[in-house]
Amino acid sequence: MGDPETAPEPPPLVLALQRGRVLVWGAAAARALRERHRVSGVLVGTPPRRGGARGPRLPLQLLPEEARLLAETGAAVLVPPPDPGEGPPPAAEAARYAAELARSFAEQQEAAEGQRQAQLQCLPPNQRPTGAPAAALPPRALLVQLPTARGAPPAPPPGPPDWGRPAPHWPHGGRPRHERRYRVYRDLWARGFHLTGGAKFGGDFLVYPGPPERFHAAAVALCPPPGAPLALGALVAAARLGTHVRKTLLLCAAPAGGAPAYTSLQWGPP
Amino acid sequence: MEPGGSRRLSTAELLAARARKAPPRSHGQKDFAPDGSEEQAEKLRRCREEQWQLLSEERVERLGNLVKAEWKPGQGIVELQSPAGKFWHTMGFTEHGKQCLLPEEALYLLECGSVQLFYRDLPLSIQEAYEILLSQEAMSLPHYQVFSHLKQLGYVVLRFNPSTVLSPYERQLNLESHCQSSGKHHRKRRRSSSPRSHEKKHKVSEGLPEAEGTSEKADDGCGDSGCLLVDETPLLEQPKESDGGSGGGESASVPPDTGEEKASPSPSRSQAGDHRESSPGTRTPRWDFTTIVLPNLAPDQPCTRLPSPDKGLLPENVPGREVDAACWCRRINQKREKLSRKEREQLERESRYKSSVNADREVRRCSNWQEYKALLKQRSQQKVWKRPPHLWDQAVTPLLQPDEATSSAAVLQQISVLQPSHILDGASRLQKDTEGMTIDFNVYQADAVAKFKKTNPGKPYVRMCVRSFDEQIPSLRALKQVTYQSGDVPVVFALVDHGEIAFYSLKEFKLPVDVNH
Repeated sequence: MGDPETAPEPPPLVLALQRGRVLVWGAAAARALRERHRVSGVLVGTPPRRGGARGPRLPLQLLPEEARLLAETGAAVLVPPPDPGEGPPPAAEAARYAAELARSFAEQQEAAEGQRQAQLQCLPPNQRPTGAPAAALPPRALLVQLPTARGAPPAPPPGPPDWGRPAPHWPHGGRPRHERRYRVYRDLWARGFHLTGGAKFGGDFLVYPGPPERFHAAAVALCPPPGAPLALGALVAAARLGTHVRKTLLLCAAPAGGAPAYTSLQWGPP
Repeated sequence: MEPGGSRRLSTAELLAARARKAPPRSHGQKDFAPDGSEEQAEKLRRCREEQWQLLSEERVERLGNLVKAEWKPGQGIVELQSPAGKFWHTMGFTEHGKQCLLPEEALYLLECGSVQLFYRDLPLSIQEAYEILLSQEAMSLPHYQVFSHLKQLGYVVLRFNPSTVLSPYERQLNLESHCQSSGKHHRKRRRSSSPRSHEKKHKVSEGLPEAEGTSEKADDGCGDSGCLLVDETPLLEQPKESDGGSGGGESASVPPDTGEEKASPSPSRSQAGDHRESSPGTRTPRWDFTTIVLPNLAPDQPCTRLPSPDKGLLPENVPGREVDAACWCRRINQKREKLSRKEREQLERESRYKSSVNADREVRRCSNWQEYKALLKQRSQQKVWKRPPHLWDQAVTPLLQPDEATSSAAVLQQISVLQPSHILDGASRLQKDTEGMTIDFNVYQADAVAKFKKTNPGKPYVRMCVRSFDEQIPSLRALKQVTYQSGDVPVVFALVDHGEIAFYSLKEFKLPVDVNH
C-alpha cells in the first residue's frame, strides 16, 4: 500500500521508546510518517514562548499500534533510550562543545560587524562616524541553539521487541487489548484508511478517508473483546454519539487467525 | 538507518532563525471525503508545507534570556546556576540556599526557551531531557503532558502535597485562618524546605484527633514538614490536658467511647513528676496538676482570700500578689432585683413549663455521663411501653411514631426506603487503599497569577489526578478516598491517551424533594 516507492529502500525511521510510549524526534521522520506511511501520531511538544503560539511542536507521539505496524513492516526501528552514564563527564565532548560555542560566537561577532559595515555603506559619506571602533556584541546578545533531538541517535537494538511478552520499554507485549486493537488497526490501515486514537469520541480509533489534517473522521472504530456480551445501553450511547458528530460507529472484530469482520451502526429516528 | 538528530545550525541559520515570522494558520474547513480534485490536493500540500516548516524550526535564544541550570540526578532536581527569571514567581523552590526546579518545571521551561539545561557540562537536547528527567515513576510522560498542557493554558500547577491538606476536623475548628496567619511567622522555614521531603509523609488526619495522631504531629513540628501543623498542636492538646487536671479519682468511670484516647497518655501522666525524661514519642503534659493548688471558687464557697501564686508558674515580667476581696464584698449591691412585668411573666412561664435538669433527682444521682445516658435510654424505653399494645405489639407496626410526624419533610424522610448518599459518607473510615490512584497536582486559577504566592498558595482551584485510558475505572471506594483527601477542593481526572488529554470530573447531584405539594 501507499505511494509507489522508488528503487532504493529509504532507511528505517527512528522511533524513540520511552517506557511504553513511542516518540518521534526528527522533523523529517515525522514528515515521512505522515506522507509515506499514513501514520499521523499526535504532536505533544510545548511550543517555545518566542515566535508566537503556533501549535504544538515535536516530539510526535505514536500509538503503540502505529509503532508496532511500522516496526513489523520494516519502515522503522524502535530504539530504547541509552543508559544515562554515571561518573565523570566526557571531557573530550565537553571541550569540543566549548570550542564549537566559541567559534559560533566569533562568527556571530563577525557577522554583526559585517552587518554594521553594510549599514554604514548605505549612509552618505559625510554622516559616517569616523574612527569609531566597532563595539563588540555583549555576551548576552549572542545566540545559542536549544536542540530538539539528541546529536546522534543511539545504536538500535538487534531486533524489535518481543511482541508477545511485556518488557520495561514495551509493556504492551502480549496484552489482549493491545493484540485486539493491533489486528484491527493493521487491517484498516491496509485498506488505505488513515487512523488516529479514538479516545475523544469514546472509541478505540478514528477512521479517516484522507489525511486527518484536511479531512473529518468518517467512523469511530470500537474493538470490543470477542465473546463478551455487549451492553445494549452502551451500544446505543456509542452509536448515538457517533451519529451526533457525523460519524459511523464501526464494531470491529479481528480474530487471531480468521478474517476481520466489521459491523457499522448508525442511530436514526424510526 | 535514517540520519536522525538535530543538526547544529550554522551562524547564518542562527541569525536567520531570529528573523522568522509566524505564517498564517487558517486553512479553511476540513472536507468529508477525498474527491481527487486539484483544490483538495493543493490545500493539503499547503497545510503540510506549513507544518513541516514549523516542525523543522529549532529553538534559538539569546544567551541573556536563558537561565543556566544543571540536572542533579542524585536528588532528582535541577539546580539553577544563574539567577531565575520571571518564572520564579510560580515555579521552583530553594534548597540549601540554592534555587532549584522540579524536573517537570525544568523541562517545561526548557521547551519554552527560558532555561538551558546542562548535565555533565554538556547542554541537553529536549529529547535527552525527556528521556532523563521523565524516567522516574512520580513524574512520567503522561504526568508531564498534563502539567505542560495546564501551564500552557496559564494555570499555576504545583505538586500535590498530602500533608498540607487540612482534615475535616481541622477545618471545623477553623484552623484555616489560623494557619494562614501563622504562615507569616514560618515563611522562612517553609521556603527552605523542599517540596520533595513533604511527599514522604502521608499524613491526613482522619476524623477526630487521637492521642497517637497528636503525638505524631508534635514530632513533625520539629522536622521540616512545614509550619502548619506546629501551631495547631496546643489547640488539639488542650482539652485533654484540662481533663487530666480534674484529678485521678475518675479513672474508674471513663466513658467507653473515649477509653482509647485515654489509654495511651495515662502511663506518662502517672509519672508526671519526671516528664522531662520521657521519650520524645510520648506526649508530656506541660503542667503537673497534682502540685498546683487551684482555689475553689464555687458559689457556695465564699472564698475571697486568694494566696500569692507560685512564682515558678508565672511569666518573668508578671508580678503576682495576694488578694483579699472581702472588703469588696461588702460594697456589692445586694438589694433584691426589681423585675418589670414582662420579665415577671417570662419567669413565671419558665417556671411552669421548663424544668432544670438539675431538679430531676434521678439525674442528680448520676455521677458521670455514662450513667446519665443509660438513664435517658431507660426512660425512652419506658416510653415505648406506653404505646397502645394493639398497634405496637404485633409483627407489623406503624411506620411512624406520633412524635416523629413533625412536618411532611420529616415524615417523608422517615418512610423513604433509600436514603440519599453523599460521596464522603463513610469515607473517613475507609482503609487507605486508593488502588494506585493519587492526586498529582494542585491547580491554581490563571487569573489569580498576579496575586499568587508560592509560599502561601492558598486553596487550589482544583486538584488533578492523572490517569490513563488503559487503566480501570476507579472503584467507588477509591473515588471516595481521593475526594476525602482533597477536602473541599474539587478533584478533576486528567485522562491521557497517547498524547491526547481529556478532563473529567464527578458532579454531585441531589434529587430535590417536593414537600409542599
